[in-house]
Order: sequence, then C-alpha cells, then structure tokens
Amino acid sequence: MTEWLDFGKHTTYVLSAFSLTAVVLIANIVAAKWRLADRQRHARRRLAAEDS
Amino acid sequence: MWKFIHKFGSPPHFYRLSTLLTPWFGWAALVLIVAGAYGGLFVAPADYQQGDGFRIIYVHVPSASLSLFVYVTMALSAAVGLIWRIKLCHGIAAAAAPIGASFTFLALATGSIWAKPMWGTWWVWDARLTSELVLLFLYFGYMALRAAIEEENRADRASALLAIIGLINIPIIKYSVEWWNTLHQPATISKMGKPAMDTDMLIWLLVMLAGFMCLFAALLLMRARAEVIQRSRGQKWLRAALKEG
Repeated sequence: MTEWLDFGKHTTYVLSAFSLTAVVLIANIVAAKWRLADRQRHARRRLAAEDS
Repeated sequence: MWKFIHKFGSPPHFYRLSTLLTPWFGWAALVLIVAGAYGGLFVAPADYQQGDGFRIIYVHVPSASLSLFVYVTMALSAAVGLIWRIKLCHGIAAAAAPIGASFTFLALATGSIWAKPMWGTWWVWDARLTSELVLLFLYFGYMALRAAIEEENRADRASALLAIIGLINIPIIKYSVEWWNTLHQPATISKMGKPAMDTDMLIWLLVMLAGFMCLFAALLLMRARAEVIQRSRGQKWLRAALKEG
C-alpha cells in the first residue's frame, strides 16, 4: 500500500467505504445517462416511423 | 406563485430548463465531490478517539442526509402531483426513487463499514439503523408498486399515496437518536446548536454534502427528462425538442 493511502489500522475500512461510494455514484450516473439516451432513441425511432 | 408552479409544471418548459441545468449541476458535483474526498481523506486531521476511521463520515453523512432529503422531495412532489394533478410531479417523484434508494444503500453500507472497527459489529438493531433500513424498503416498495401497475395514472396515484404515508418514517429516523437510547451517535450537524466537529473537519463535510446535493440535482434532472419523454408521446413540442438534440 502506498504511504499516502495509509490510514493506519483503519485503511481497509476507509478505502472500502470510499470505493463503494465511488462505484455506486458512477453506476447511478451511467444508469441515468443510459435511461435518458434509451428514451430519446425510442422516441426518435417512433417519430421517424410516423413520418415515413 | 401559482403561475410559476404551472409554468414549471409544463413538460416543454421543464425539458428545456433541465437540459440547460444538468451539465452545470453535473460539473459542480464532480468538482465538489473530488475536492471533498481529497480534503476528507488527506487534509482533515484524524479524530483523537476514532483515528483515521472517522474519515468514513465524509461519505456516510452526505449519503444519509441525501437519503432523507430525496425521500422528502419524492413525497412532496408526489403530493403536489396528486393534489393539483400535475403529471410532471409524478414523473419527478418516480425519477427520485432509484436515486434515493442508492443513497440509502450507501448510508447503510458505509455506516456498517464504520461500525465494524468502532462498535465491533457490522450491524445492530438500533432505532436509527432499523428506521433507515425501513426507508430503503419504502423506496423499494414505491418502485415495485409503480412497476406492478400498468396504467400510468393509477400507478401515479397509488405510488403517491405510499410515498406520502412513508413520510412518517422521516422524523422517526431524524429524531431516533434523541427519542431512544441508541448506539448511534447524535447528529453531527444541527441547525440549532454548535456543530459537534472542529471547523477543519467540518468544512470538508460541507463541501462533500454540497457535492452530493449537486449530483442528486443532475441525476434527478436526467431521469425526470426520461420520464417526460415517455409521458409526452406524440406531442408536437417533443418532436421539436428531439430534433434540437
């Protein structure tokens, strides 16, 4: 473990908590972006079908 | 005020405004969370009793605060939708639920990680922990109820009622540490009293809290836009908005 990431006897706990938070927050961003893009794609496809 | 609510409640106006605001909240969240995490991990001094283990509060406290804040936002939005029949508000409530569930999960998980070295156990059936777990189940219940009802209007009404009834759990979570003898410590930041932390520690917690709030705003706007698209099928303004990008 590099020195700057050394939190004594609590290193594992501190790093686990921060890593878990990062993973959940990033997953939330990805999920929200994916959902929005998916809805936009579907709506565009439906509009194109109506036009043709 | 009435005019503002109706203007804000109009899907085209909301769609345009949320498209504009999302990147601002997103970038603000990134800067604040990175700064807060850096400050919490490397700048704030270690606690004299808990040592470096206390640094977990920099992710635990914002998650826990947001878990309550998001629920109140969701329930109020659902209530406005139910009373004034503004469909957008139901969409906002539906968009808030998965975000709130994530913050509640994080509050429970990071709290558990902190509890192991400090209390010697991952979990206790303490009033604060148990009521927070009930909050997670309320979020799951809200999402499951929405998913179970096919007709949109009925799903909106039923889930709004559940969200409003579940509001009773919020003061229970907030004041559980005062009403009962709990292992969980009292509030770190209180509106009425002096914070229980030194300023050098508190500043990074506030930065992190602001970052989480901005992230919630960005996520809510993105998810609410997806809801608006689904609810505005066949409307002229949506065609124009989608062409714009």
